[in-house]
Amino acid sequence: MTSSIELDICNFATKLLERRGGLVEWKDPNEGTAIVPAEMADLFHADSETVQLSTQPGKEGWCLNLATDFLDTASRLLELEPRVGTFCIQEIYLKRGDFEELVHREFSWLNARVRLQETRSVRVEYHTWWFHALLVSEDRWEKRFPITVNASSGTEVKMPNLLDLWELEPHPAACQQPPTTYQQAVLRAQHQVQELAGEFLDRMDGRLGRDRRRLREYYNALLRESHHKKSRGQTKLDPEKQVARERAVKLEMRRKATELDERYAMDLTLEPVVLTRMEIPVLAVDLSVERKRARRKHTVYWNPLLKQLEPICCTHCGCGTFSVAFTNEEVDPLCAKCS
Amino acid sequence: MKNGIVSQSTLQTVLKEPLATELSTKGTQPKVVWKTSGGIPVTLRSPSSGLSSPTTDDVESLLLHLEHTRLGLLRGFDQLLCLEGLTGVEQLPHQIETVRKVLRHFRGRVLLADEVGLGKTIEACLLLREYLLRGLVKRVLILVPTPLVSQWHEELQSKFALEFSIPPKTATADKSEYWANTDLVLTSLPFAKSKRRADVVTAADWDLVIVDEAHHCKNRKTLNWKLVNSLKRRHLFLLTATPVQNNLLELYNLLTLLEPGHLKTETDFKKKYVRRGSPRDPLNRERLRSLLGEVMIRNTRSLVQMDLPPRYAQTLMAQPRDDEQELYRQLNDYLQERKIPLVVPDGNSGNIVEKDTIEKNDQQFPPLSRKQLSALLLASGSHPRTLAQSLENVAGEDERTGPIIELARRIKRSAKEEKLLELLGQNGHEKVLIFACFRRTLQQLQHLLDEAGVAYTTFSGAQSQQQKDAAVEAFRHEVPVMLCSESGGEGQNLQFANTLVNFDLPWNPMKIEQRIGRIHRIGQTREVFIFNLCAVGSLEAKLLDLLTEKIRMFELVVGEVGSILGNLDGGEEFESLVLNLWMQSHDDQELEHSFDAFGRSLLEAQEKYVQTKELDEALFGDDYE
Repeated sequence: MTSSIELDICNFATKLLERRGGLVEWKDPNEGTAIVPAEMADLFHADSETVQLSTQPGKEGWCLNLATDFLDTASRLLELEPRVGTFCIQEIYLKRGDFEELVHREFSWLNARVRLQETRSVRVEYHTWWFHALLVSEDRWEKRFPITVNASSGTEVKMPNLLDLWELEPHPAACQQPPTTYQQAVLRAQHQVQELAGEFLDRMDGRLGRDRRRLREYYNALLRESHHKKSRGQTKLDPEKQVARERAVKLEMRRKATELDERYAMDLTLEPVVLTRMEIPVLAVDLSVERKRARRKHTVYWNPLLKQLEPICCTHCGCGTFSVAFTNEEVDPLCAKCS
Repeated sequence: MKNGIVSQSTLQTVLKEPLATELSTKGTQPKVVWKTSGGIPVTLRSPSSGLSSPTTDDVESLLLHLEHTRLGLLRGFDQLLCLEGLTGVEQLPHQIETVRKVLRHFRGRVLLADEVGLGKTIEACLLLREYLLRGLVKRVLILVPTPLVSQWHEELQSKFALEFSIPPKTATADKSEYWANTDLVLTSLPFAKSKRRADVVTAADWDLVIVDEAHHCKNRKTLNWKLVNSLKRRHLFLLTATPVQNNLLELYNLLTLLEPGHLKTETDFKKKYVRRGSPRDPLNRERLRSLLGEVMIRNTRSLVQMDLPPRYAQTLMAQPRDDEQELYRQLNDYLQERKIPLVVPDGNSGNIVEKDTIEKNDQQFPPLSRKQLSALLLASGSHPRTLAQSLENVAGEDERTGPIIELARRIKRSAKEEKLLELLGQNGHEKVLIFACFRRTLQQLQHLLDEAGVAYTTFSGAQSQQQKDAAVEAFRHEVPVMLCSESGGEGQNLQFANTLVNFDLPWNPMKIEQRIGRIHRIGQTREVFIFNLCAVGSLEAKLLDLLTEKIRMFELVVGEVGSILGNLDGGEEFESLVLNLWMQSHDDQELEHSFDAFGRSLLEAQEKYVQTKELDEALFGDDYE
């Protein structure tokens, strides 16, 4: 039986080795041969440039298996592969029609008068950051997920996987300017982790609660015992010793509780794995916002891939929102929560 | 830096204070970014400036990175493959947790020691599936008690989509080719260890061996232990709810199967961890706990916080008629004559020894062995006909047994049988599971129910697998009553029933607990009712009184009774202690006193258990997480 994971590893190995100048041939799903450049053979500590590949441990050559260090070595080969891709979609259908009505249907303006000024076709860059998120506490949780940010508005947009789009075209010109969305993507990724790791976080909370409870019960029992504890040969309780004992128990309980909290404290690592920069034609909808005496222009975008208007980015928390309030003087948009 | 990413430009104009300030500080210095609802601080660590990499317009390059990350996640076992494509498996958090823990930390060698009913089988099957899907194992041997073979087979197939081969009961299974060429084999331990097959089974290489109810391998002198020990395997899962039934050496033996040398030699182990006279209370507890934590996982109900519906127990006392009373009297007189009296020697060592028997050697028949005495006393507590048969088997040549056997056979319906019919008459539409220790008793109950016109099915160790499966199916869908021998006490899922009758009582409370665990377990949604039948004045009545009144066994959660019994002095098995009480006593009054004293010991044991519960949890409970 060849598992789908074994097939996935074999496919991955084949693509990687061939990309770096190797040649791979599979005799059957479990065994194959690779001819690799000398430097690659060195990297994998192979004696010759012809290497046997197998999914089974114990066979001669390289074992392509989750249990071996193949993936670790592969990561060194992958260092040579770029992680930032630049693409575009040249043509796509853009909506025509009544945006005034659409804007007012989609958005709730909580404290300002908003009027549509104009609609124009523009090209906007979307940055999709693929993160590897790792939460480490008493246990660990990890996940890989994308965060896509509209580079013009800073709004997180829930886009389909752009690498799957058939309309995708190379677009080297996109990389003239460095991307500006990383920090916003990290912020949104944190929120994403809170959602995705909900069960894990609940479990850790539960465990900590349980351990705290046990700790309290244990030391409270010790305290109760200390009330009745007499030294050898004594017939009466010594109040001074009793107080000292109590103090020592309480001190230790505090120390243990601190240790417990430290043990459960979580580290969240967000490691960007890949960035795709994609330029897409969209419709920019310019809005005139009047808040008291202040007036300011804001732009919202109609996304042709989602076929809908994108939310506005809250200037306080960074989340995208369709219920928008504005600050008094700067007329900055805020989500309902932040307003 | 070509196309390196520099933060803070356009976004500064979009995002205002305080967000911009917050962002500018991130990355370089770890910072608490939020707290969980339970107050755990989460500190963010991420590179300050995104990706520093050349650019490409080749999708393949990026996909390789993403695939590498995905495969890396699989290696970390965070994403389990086994959870996809399951049918009808309730995935409980502690089970998923256990699977991850075994995958990450145990290198495929683990003692899964969850309490009864928490889903060890599910955990083992999830692990098995994960290993298979990841290609980490190919050849798997599962050894289970004979009555569980078909249940395992059915569950592997229907719930986990795994097709295992059960070796045929023909010469094919005696040949090495079968074992060498069949990758996934499920069989019973007795089948595999038989003289004809042990060599061929152990000659084959296995990637993974799973042993269910592994406490059958607790004794290294048994064929069970020797077979598992000699199997060539890379990974081993041992499953048992009771890794320590009597003494810590049993745990040592099981763990030695998993990781020989993990607990060093038996002598070392005894010296370091076994407290003389208190086999369940180890020395160097913390050290032992740490060592156990490397090879054993034990989920307990208290840890998992599993809320099962309540259970209620009721003892139904049956008043024996004159002929029955006469039978018990005659039997008692006879057994008193043929027993070896026990004495408690001076010096209060606690050990009970058999009295010098020279005075009895001039008799025609030697004293009955402890085993024979136990069998006869248990049979007398079960059914008169069962007693008659046992007496005939054990002491048939002794003419003094003739009248007793005759009297037992004359009793057409015992008081307990009457009581059972009364109980069944009051039953509405509930499924009732009736347990009895002896096959002969089951036969008698079959006659009884036939006569009373009560529809039933029978599950006994004497049946073939097909018959057993058919019995469970009939009980599920057709008949209100299932008669069940002790072999039905292990592993069968009968949660669709909620009423259990102990027609007789095993002397070991752990076995009673196993019986209850058949219906009071995960999947049980209704209150559970347990009825214990016993004759007034019988040994069972005294035993039951002890268990219900002293330690309130039926109110304990499954698993706790073992801890209490483990606190009894002497380290003898419970059955043996009960027999000692009877052997020490010459009449009913003495027996009452003995039971009273034993009851006090039990109570002390329970108090000790309650006091040391935290310590017990320190040994086993915390290993879950």
